[in-house]
Amino acid sequence: MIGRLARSPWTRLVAGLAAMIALYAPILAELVRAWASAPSLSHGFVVPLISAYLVWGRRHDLAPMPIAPSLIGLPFLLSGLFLYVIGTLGGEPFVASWSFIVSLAGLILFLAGGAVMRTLLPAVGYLALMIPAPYVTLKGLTDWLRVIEATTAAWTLPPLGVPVFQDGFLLHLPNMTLEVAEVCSSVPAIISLLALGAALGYVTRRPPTVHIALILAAVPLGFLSNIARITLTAMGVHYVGPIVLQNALHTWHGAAVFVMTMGALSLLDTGLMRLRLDPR
Amino acid sequence: MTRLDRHLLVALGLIGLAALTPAPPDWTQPASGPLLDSIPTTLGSWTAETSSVEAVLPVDSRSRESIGRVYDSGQRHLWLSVARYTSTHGPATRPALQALVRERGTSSLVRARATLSVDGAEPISVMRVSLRYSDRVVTVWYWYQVGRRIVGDEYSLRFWLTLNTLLRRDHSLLLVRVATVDNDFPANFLEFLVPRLDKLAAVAERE
Repeated sequence: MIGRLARSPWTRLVAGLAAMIALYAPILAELVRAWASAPSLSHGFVVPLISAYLVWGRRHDLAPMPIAPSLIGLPFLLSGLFLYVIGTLGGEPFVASWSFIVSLAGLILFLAGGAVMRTLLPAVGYLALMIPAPYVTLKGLTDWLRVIEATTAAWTLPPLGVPVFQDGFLLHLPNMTLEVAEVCSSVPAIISLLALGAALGYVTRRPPTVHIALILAAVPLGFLSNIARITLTAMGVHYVGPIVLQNALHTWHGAAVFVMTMGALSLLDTGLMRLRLDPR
Repeated sequence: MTRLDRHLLVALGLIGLAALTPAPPDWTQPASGPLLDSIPTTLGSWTAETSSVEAVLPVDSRSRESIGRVYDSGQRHLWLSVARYTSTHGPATRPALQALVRERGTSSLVRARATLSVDGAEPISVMRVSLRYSDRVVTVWYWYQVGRRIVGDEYSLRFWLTLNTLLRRDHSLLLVRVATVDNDFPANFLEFLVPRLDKLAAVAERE
């Protein structure tokens, strides 16, 4: 049994992957620290698990595949390791983190060949979602979206009987002023939903058009869910009182947006599949 | 030896080589006195009195030294903060973006690029942040000076700092922030400040 395992080409691939993970251990540890330190990055914990699940889901396709090492992988492996050296020597963790994806893809292609790489590509590509965007990018996007969300909520509230005066991030209600704070922005939810939309379409083995639609829809649906959450919170404050700020919808704002968008994505998925099955 | 074995050996060799990459240097700084105090308290028609600027421009604890002054010229006034960083070879020693402006109490925050045209000098690209508080709008213009080079963009700053670390160059880094009320662009202050900072950077480079 052990002899058979040692002779298996898959064992060699696993040995290569283990060496790669050992090389990147300090960078992966930094990523884990970043996920743990910011709620907006916490989806990073789930990404490797979903990626592993994507590999597991393809195990029956992978098992009979021939391991055919390809030299085409070498330039990718070299590029990835070069970026690793630049990122590590230059003290630039973003470059070093991205190099992991390139190195990993290069290693699989170099050791196992094109057919295995094509099968594993979604799982490897999916790992990119665990790498946080630079703070300056996220911050700019968040500040921009906070104003848009506050403005959209300010349009939505008067027809629902809630008088409101908007001043930038602030929504002045008759009995209270609400701030669309940085943590209330839909940016964190959108990033994690993008990850979820990608996984959902792949795991359920949807056709490419439906899969792409699910990924693309995650962004507007996440945004709209957050508007709905802000609007509901403002309505609650107006009609019930500030006590609603202590309810689950506000306290667990990230989870609330996530659940709402998941529901919307599932509805969209069902609708699109019905359209495909019944193209009248 | 199979083809797979050969590829595995090459891969392990390359990974082993990459593992030899050293971490960025943690250079010990030579002892040197404060430099920023040499920025004059009178620049053109602007004069400074001792007062705190932290209500508008927070101090970055990562900086090695910093000064903050409030300059007045007639009815106009502005806040100036200059921070100096050394050994910027890793994220933990580089300027903290969270400490650039005082965000608490703002109702909106708009970021943009701006070009500062100062008499007798090349225009410089800088970053501008407009913050709306309940009682006023404060505009902060800020830029970095890496060695003698003025860098007015966060991404470019990351590029230059990474390059300097790669090349083992230990340039000094200045973060310059000027804040005014109601977008009152202080051209006649900057035309005196910018050349002074350039001279200061030259002194820091020689250290």
